[in-house]
Amino acid sequence: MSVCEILREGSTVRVALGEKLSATEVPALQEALKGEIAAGARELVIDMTSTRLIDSTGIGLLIATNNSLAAAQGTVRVHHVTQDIFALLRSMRLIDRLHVTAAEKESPHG
Amino acid sequence: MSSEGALSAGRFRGFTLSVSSRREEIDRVCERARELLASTGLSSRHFDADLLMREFMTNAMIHGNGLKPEKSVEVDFRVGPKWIVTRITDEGSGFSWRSKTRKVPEENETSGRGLAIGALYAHRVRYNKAGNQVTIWMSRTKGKESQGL
Repeated sequence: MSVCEILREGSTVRVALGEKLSATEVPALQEALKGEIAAGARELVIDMTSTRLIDSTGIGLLIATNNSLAAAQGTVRVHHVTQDIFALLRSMRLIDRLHVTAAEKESPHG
Repeated sequence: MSSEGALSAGRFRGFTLSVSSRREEIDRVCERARELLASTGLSSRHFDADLLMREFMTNAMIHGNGLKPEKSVEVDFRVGPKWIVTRITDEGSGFSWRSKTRKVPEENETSGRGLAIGALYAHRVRYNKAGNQVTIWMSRTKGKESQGL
């Protein structure tokens, strides 16, 4: 899978991420998200159904995206995160800010 | 350029890898760690081990080696009877780790979470005097780490 898959519905853009969101993926994903915001996206739904791993660089990108959108009265919603990622984002106090929702049922890791 | 060696001394299993300071090398080292954890029945520790390795390797490459590909980062990863231990060494002059905060940054800050993650997910984090080598201990059992902030 590529870094992400993007589906546009008016000013709402759904971005489905791959297996991980780390320093390796951030540069390409950052450019893609910048482009969507510049094109008028005001609600970005980051779908992390397939994402199993994340690091602080990936977290930083989610926050930077939210900061950019907040300046334009927009918002980021991070959906379907694993329990591990949810716990990490909770410990970073980002659940409310990024509108994080956990996956209902996780598929086996690996 | 990279070099590697496998370790299996006594009750420890592990590997040592020396990689150039390129971000994609982090993925390769993390994959080796994932394979070792799986082969030792510790897949449940994969998320935490991967997270810690990525944070401290990124620090070593960026802050230690300035992302210069000709400079290497050495990673020694061992699974023992009680602990999972990762030692990461860069070629930099080190940093003043004593003065760095481990507190979680404000919600709108886009960086500065690496050391906080280390404090939350590792049982113990120790730097050498210079600050260019860090050793991270993780319990084999989830829930026994976290020194808190």
